[in-house]
Formats: sequence, structure tokens, C-alpha cells
Amino acid sequence: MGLARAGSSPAFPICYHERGVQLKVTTNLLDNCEVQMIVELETERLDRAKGAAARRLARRVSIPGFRKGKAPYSVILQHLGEDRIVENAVDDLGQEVYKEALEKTEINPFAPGNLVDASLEKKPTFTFNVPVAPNVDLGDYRSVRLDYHPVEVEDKAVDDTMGQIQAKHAVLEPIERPSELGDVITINAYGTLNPGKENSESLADEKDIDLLLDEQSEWPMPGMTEKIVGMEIDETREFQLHFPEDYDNNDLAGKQVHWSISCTNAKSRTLPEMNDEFAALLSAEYKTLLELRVAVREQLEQAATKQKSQEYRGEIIGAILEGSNIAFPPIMLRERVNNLLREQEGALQSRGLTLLDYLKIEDKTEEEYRAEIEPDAILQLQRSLILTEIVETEGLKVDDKQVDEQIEKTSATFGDSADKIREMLSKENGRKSVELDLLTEMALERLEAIAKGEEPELPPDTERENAATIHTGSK
Amino acid sequence: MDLSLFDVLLRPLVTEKSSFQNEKLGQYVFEVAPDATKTQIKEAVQSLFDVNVIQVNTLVMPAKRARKQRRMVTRTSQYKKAVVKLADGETIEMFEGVK
Repeated sequence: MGLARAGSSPAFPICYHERGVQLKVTTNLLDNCEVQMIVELETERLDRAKGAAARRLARRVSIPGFRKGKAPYSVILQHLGEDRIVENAVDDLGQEVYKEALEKTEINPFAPGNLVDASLEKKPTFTFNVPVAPNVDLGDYRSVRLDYHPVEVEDKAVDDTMGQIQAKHAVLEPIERPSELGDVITINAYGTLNPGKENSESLADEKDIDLLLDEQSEWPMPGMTEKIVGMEIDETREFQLHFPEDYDNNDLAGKQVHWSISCTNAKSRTLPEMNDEFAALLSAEYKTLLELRVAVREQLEQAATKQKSQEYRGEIIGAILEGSNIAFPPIMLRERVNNLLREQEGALQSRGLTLLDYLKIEDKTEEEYRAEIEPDAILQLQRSLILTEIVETEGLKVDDKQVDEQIEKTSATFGDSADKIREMLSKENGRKSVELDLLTEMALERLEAIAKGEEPELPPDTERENAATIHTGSK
Repeated sequence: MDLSLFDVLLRPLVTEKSSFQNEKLGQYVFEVAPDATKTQIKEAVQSLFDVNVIQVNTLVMPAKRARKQRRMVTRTSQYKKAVVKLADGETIEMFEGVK
């Protein structure tokens, strides 16, 4: 009997329509670099999706009287309820329609769009928000001029550093006599804040700390040296000291501290003589003390220039930012905030904390914290967008050779693990990040040159376009 | 037999087989009172659903043994089933599901 095949072809609403033809798409450009895409489609299309969704759902639920997946649409509808089917259908159809609508409108999404609204009354209508590429208008960045004052390293700074080098190479020898200024003693220190009062509390409980007896020393507390100079091994002194009224730390200013100091070791400290021999001893590079001094000055100058240049670059970016008009889709900001959170989490992990712990300590919700770091994220984002745009308009490029050189340079600084680093950087992702770093550096250098009024030449248009494609390709 | 219209038909049977019968053969399947006659069933369906019945077949579905867990043997009770054929093109809304 034919009934044996009962139910083999359930009555699903099937519509034979050519797919993807009846879409009606309207687009509005929103302020925040998003395109609102309103897609209207044929009712049959929704019915078809509902049928498909029901069939899919039916395979997973058992309905009494039917084998799995064999129940007709009407029965599934009764059993599961329309809402569940519609929800599933919209999920599916949304993606399908999104793709088709993008093709039709030729919008180039910068990141995946999202379905913000689906209205199913009368004509099914889906509303998507599609992020599009950020819009960066740098304004007249080439007219930005900022004064640059080259750094000068003062003699005093060089003297200080020389002094530090000298101190580092001091010779320590045990002494039997009472300690004097210039000696190093090892002490156990116990300090009580507000002694004898109700609010007294322990300020310090340190064991085996080395202390240089120096009148200028303000650590652990101003005036301490006077009180402990002359101590011998195994001697203990108890005394009271006041923090000065104008002490940097307001909580401590003017407070009284009771100290109990015991000396466990004492050594004399002999500084090496500063002469050509000392310089030669430090490194074969220096033959005379003067050469050492010159090298120190150079190092200081380099460090100062680097810092100055960083500040200067920050100022330039700030100036460009003022004259520019930058819009980016919210998803970019969200990503940036996520990145910051992840970085923060990494930093916390090294201290054995999780982000949740941290939030608990700070008594904030994640949303509050996100809102707090958002301004930073915006600034970072604007900076990177500006630099990307500079790379494009200025036609900056790096070639493989430069990347190779940079990889070699970076990995060389890692000493023993240089090979490992080189291998890591030579992979595709590594090369890309090196390339991006180089481009960023070049862009910053270019900006510096512009701001200093050097007016570097712009490349011809064709080259610029090439550079732009290379750069966007490497995003 | 003194059965009211509502006592004759106990419930519609919606299964894979009965769905097939609805769609392809224009037949509707009910569980009916054990002592309902074909005439009573015909009248009940005609007046409750406002349709024309051409034919009524009845059968008593036998009780079946089923096992719960390993030892427990339970029985499903027997019931009377009626297959009602309607005039061409007529349908009973209840079977078509919520639209």
C-alpha cells in the first residue's frame, strides 16, 4: 500500500523564485562612518527561509507520531511555536540577504556589519549597519610648523653620570672602627609612625639594607644620616625624627617617627681615581678619561634627543589632529578598547591577577572601566589613522631589502635568542609588522621634517597610488 | 446508543501516517468512543466541522505490550479509530494547523 511512504514529502511552503532578484535596498550614510542599509524583500523569501528553518529544527526535536525530521510544517509550527522558527529563519536569511545586498549596492564593508532591526510585518525588512572605511581628512598638514629646539646636555649632567660610574666601581672593605661619612653600613631598621599615640603604625621594617652614609641622603628619612653616623657593628640606636613640614609626601609631612636601628655590618668605601687608567679599565674603547667623557656625553645626548623627538612628534600629531577631520566606525573603537583591555590583562597576569580581580579592587564595572580607557583608545586610533594616511599621501614605501635589514638589526639585539627572533620575524606576519613599524617610523620622520620646515618633496602621483595599494594590501 | 456529538469524537490523531492521509487521500483520522457507530461518527464530523462525509472506516487498535526499563511490562490500552473520507476539496481546519 502506498501508505508505507506516508509523509515522505511533507507540505513545506516552497516558492520557486529566482533567488536574490527581488531585493529592494536603500542606503543612508550615517555620521559615524557607517552605512545604514535597509533591505526589503519578498514575503515568499521569508516563507522559504521559515520552511528551511523549521525543517532544520525538526531534525533535532522529536514530535509524537512522527519520525525525526518527518513532521510537516504545520505540525512543527504548532509544536515549536512561530517565534522560534522565525528567529532561526531571520538569523539565516539575514546573512544571506546581507551578502546579496552588499553585492547589489557595491558597498565595501570595512568590518562585518550587524543586523540592527528586522521587521516582518507586511513586507519583511531588514536593517543593517555596515561599517565602512574610516574617513581621514588631514587638512593642510603640510603647513604645520613647530619650533624644534635641539637638546643640549649640560656639563653637570655629564659630571653626575661620571660620578655614578665612579660610584659603581667603588671598592668596599670591612672596617673595625666606628663608621664615618662615606662608609657603607648594613642595618636593620624598624620605624614607628606617631609613636606612643593611638594612631601609631609601623612605617618601615627592613632587614639587611645597605646604606651609604651621605649627608645629602634623604632615604629612608631626612636627617637619618646624622643620627647613625659613627655606629659600629652590633650597635643599636633608638631615636626620634620629624619629617619636615614641607615634605613631598603630604601624608608624612610633620609626622614624628621612632626609629630602632641596629648595625650588622660596616665597610669603608674607596672611590677609584678618575684617570686614564680607570677609563681604560672600563672598556678597551677608551684610552683616556676624556674619551670616556665624550662617550658619556654622546649617550646622554642620544637619549635626550630620542625623548625630545618623541615629545616633538606627539606635538606634531596633536597639531595635525586639530586641523583634521577624522571619522571612524564605532567597531574600530571597540576593537581598540578590546586591545587595550587585553594588554592590561596581560600586564595584570604577570602580577598574578585577572582583570576581574583588578576591577573588584578598583570597584568598577567592566563598562565603567571601558568608558574610562575610551579616550586613550580614541587618541591611539586617531594617531594610527593619521599615520596611515600620511604613508599614503606621502607615498612612503619600504622594500624587501629594508625589511630584511631591520629584521637583522632587531634580532641582533636579542643576543642568544637572536636566531629564534629572526625566524619569528621572517614569517609573513612578522615581516608585515616589521614593515608597518618601518612605515610608521618613516611617516613620523617625514612629519618631523615637515614641521621643521624642510618641505620634503611629494612623489609624483603614480607612485603615490602604488604606495597606497601596497599599504592597504598590507593592512 | 445515547452519545452526544462531542462524546463521539475523542481526539484527532496527528501522525506521519495520518498526515499523509489528509494530504493525499482527503481522509481524516480520529480516535472515537469505543461504542460509537459509523453513522454516529459521520453525523458528528458533518455537524462539528461543517463538511460532507463520504465514507467512514473504523477499526479497533489493539492493546500493545511495552516494556518500561527492563522488567516492568506495561500495556497501552486498545482504542477505536475512525478514518473519515470527506468530499473532494473539503478540509478540516484543525488538522491544517495554526495558520
